This record gives sequence, C-alpha cells and structure tokens, in this order.
Amino acid sequence: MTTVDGEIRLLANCVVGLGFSAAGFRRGLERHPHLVGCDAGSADFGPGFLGTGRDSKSPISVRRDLRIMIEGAHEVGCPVVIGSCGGAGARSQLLGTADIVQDILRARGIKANVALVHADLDRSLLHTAVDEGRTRPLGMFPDLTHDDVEASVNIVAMMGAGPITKALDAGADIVLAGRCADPAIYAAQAMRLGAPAHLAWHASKCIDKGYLATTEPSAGSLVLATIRADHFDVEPTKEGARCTVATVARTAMYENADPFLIRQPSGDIDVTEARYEQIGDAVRVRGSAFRPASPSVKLEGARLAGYRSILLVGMRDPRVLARLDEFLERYEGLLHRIARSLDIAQGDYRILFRSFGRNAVLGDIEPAVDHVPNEIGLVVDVVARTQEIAGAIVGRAAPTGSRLDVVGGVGSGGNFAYPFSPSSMHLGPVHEWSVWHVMDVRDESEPFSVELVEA
Amino acid sequence: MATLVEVARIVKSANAGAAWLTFDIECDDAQALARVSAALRSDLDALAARLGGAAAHISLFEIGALNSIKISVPRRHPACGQDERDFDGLQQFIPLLDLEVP
Repeated sequence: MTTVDGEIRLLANCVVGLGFSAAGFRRGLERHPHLVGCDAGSADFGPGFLGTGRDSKSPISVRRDLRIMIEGAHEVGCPVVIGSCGGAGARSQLLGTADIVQDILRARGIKANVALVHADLDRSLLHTAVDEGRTRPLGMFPDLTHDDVEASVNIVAMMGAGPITKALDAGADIVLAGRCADPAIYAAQAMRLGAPAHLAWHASKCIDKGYLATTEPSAGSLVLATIRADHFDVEPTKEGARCTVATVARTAMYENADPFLIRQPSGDIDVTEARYEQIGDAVRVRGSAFRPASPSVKLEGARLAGYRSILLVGMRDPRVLARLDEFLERYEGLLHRIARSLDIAQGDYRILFRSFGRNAVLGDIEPAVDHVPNEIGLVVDVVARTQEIAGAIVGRAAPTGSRLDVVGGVGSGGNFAYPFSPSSMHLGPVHEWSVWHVMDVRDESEPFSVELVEA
Repeated sequence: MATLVEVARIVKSANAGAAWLTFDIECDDAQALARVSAALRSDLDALAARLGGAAAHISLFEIGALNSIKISVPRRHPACGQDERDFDGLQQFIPLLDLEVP
C-alpha cells in the first residue's frame, strides 16, 4: 500500500438519488477515506432509460445526494467517483449529471477537476466485433447481428476499473462515469493506492450496494471498507448500524447468476474460499481471489418497440369476474374489429390485458387461478407503431369493455369503475433490449473515453 | 408435509441482469438447508415448471457460510420486453413458497 498508514479506506454509498444518512456520511468522513463512491444506475428497471436518455431519478434528489458527497470529499481531500450516471450511463444522462455537479461546484465555490468517462459505444467498433465473432449473448438472448446494432437508439459498454484509473491518473477530483460495473467505482482507486487486486475487487464488491450490506438498509448508513495487507474490514458508519457476516457475504453474491465467480471486464472475483469473521459491528474478510482473464466488456443496447397507451379500470362484479377469460377474449375481438374499422393494420399494434388481482404478476406460472378474485385492476395495454394508433385503440377501449355484456343486464350500466379522469394514459415510447451481450476487446479501456472539463 | 415458506427463513428473487433470474433461499441452520436442497434437487422438472423455465437451464449453488442456496435460471422471455410483468424480478419467487420439503 502506498498510503501513509498502510490502509486504504473506501467510503461507499448506495445509489445517487435514493438518499442516505447525512450523519452516517459525516462519521465516515471522520475516518479520512481515500475515496467517496456511489453508483447511480441499474439496468434492472428496463431499457426505457437507456432508450429515452432520461434520468431515472429526480434531479432534486440527485442534487442533494451529490452535494453532500462532493462537499464532504472536498473537505477531506479525496476523490469522488460516481458510476452509471443518470441511470443507464448514456451520454445525455452523463451530461445531465455533469450539469448538476457544475451547479453545485459554482454554488459552493469549490474548485475541482471533473472528468467525464463516456461509455457510449462507437457503432463501427461493434460492427467490426460482430464480423470478427467477438460478441456473445448472455442468457437466452440471440447472437448479435448488424441489424441489432443499427436498430439500437443507444448502446453503452460497461466499464471496469481501467477507464476510471485513467481519469484519476489525469488528476480528476470528481469522476463521473457512464455505464460502469459497480465494484469498479471503488476498485480503481484501491489498486492505484497499491491494494492487491483480490482485496481491492472483493472489498469493492462487498460495499458497492452501500447500506444493503447493513442489517437495516432503511437507516441509510454508508459502509466503509478498510483494506490492509491480507484482509479487509467492512463496517457501517452510522451510529447504531451493524454489518454481519450474512449481510456482507450476501451483498457480494447478490445480483449474480453465479454467486462464487463475479465477472468483471478484466477477470473474475472468485469468492469460493472467502472467509468472513464478525468483529463487533464490522466483518473481516479474507481468502478470496482475483483471476485475470482476457478483457471483455458487457454491452447494453435499447431499441424502440413502439408507443404505449393504457386504460386502467376497476372490475368488481362477481358475475363478470367468474367469466373473466370469456370476457377478455370477446373484448380483444371487439378491439381488433374496431382497429380494422379504423384501417389500422394488425401488425401495427398489440393488445395485452394485465389483470391485477388475478395473474398480472406471474402470468402463466400463477399457481392460484382456481378462485374468483374479489376485484381486479384491469390494464388494457396497447403498444403500437405510433402514439396516435395506440391512443386510437385505447380511446375506444373504455366504452367497448364497459358495455360488453357477458352476463346479461349491463344495459346502459357498465363493467368498469374509472379511478382517473382522463382514464386513458399515453405513456410514450417503449423500448426493448436490443443488445445484451459481451464483447471481447484488446484493452478493457478501448471502448471508453475520458474528457476533462473545466470547473 | 412442511412447505418451503415454513422451513426457510428467507425466500426471495431478483434479476441477475436482464438475462437471468436468481432465487435466494436462506435457512437457519445446515440441517434445514440440507432438507431444502434435497427437495429442490429431487425433481428439477417440477422445479423448472414452477419457475417457468427448463430443467436443463437451472443452476443450483449452495453457500454454506450463509446456510443458503441460490437458484439461477435464464429468464423465460427476452427480459424487459414490452410484455414484461416484473422488470426487477422481485416477485417471481411466489411459486416456490408452497414447494413441499420432506
């Protein structure tokens, strides 16, 4: 280690824009961390944020969280690294976060070097990789084609420690990274300061979900990793918070298909032999390994699937609910007939009924389908080639379904209770993952670029 | 016979990226874990049917330090498409709860 006291201390937060304990952060600062880090993104909530380029969190929340972290890090003189800025880590989101950071620096009179690490993929690089057979799908996704690349509105690569190391080496006080592997936020600085790769990576993996490594995530404690020669400790920084062997070990295995081998662009974090020991409110960890591999980066791309309009209604009549399948089948037929009457081609839209209270969550694996629900929330979900087409079909869905008489006697009454006015909602573009692949690269930093900006 | 929800302390699910779903089951002790593990492994086809996947694609990992077992399966459909029901996969564990554990 190249630090004065032979320790490397990494102060970790959970997600920018989800809040955290300011008091816990202050106590973390008292430990003089060598880095303040926080993730800002996730692909878990779908491709919509990558597709639209919109930020997934409220700018009001993002500003609060960033301000506290930037001021604190400036006070103790350590860098701040924010990963996957704006949710998906695409250019527009990175620039949006940079604007907020510049505002904070101006308002507080802080001079700082800011680095933006761009993760948007140059399509020609990806076309070449497809030609050279250097891409492979994850899970059930099909092989990547040139058409998939061209159909994508945005494609990002997920960076490891390499590009963040470059930004820190260039003198950045604040590193705003595009799409980024969570542990890389911390591992880059740890390795710059001389931590061995296995300790740097595993410690980073244990803290990269912030307060999720504590027994009470809702308390919003940050967590501090202290790396020493042959082990690291993970501890909460908020008074009264606690890390346990279970909470720390679980965090490192969370969100991975294989809990023992956690893939990073430069190799695998292997926690098969890791040993965890409870020491007060902290956990001491040793025994993991890092297995370098030929470099590869994960790619995420989004394509436009259409535009969505929905109708949300309540259904309560037990006679209709007892015959819901028949009701929905006839309802769908009527909506198709209306579409034909409007000269809308069948290939230009699709209709999906989501019956909340029955099987909207689990679909065809729902085990409890034998009883008639008390009530359901029915979402008539239409995705069409244009917003106008989706709106036209959904606009006819309310009267058509409300008057559809499967039991006799609806007459001038209706099947639907409307909670909202207007009852139709036009939700805009819908995206799908077009790219969910891994690309082999010569150098893990190759797809990324570091831009230093004045502040 | 006891069911999984009675034997295990934690049963939960989440995405492991958009291509995979993972199910984490934690028990209080090694003995309970052994029972759960045996029950899950006794009929992988039945397990796959509950999770809506194919037995050949199921991976099971036992984590002794946590008395836990992780099940990983590829998502049934390309994840997060326009017909997605549960983007983050957090409610997909429900069909496991009444699995019989001898």
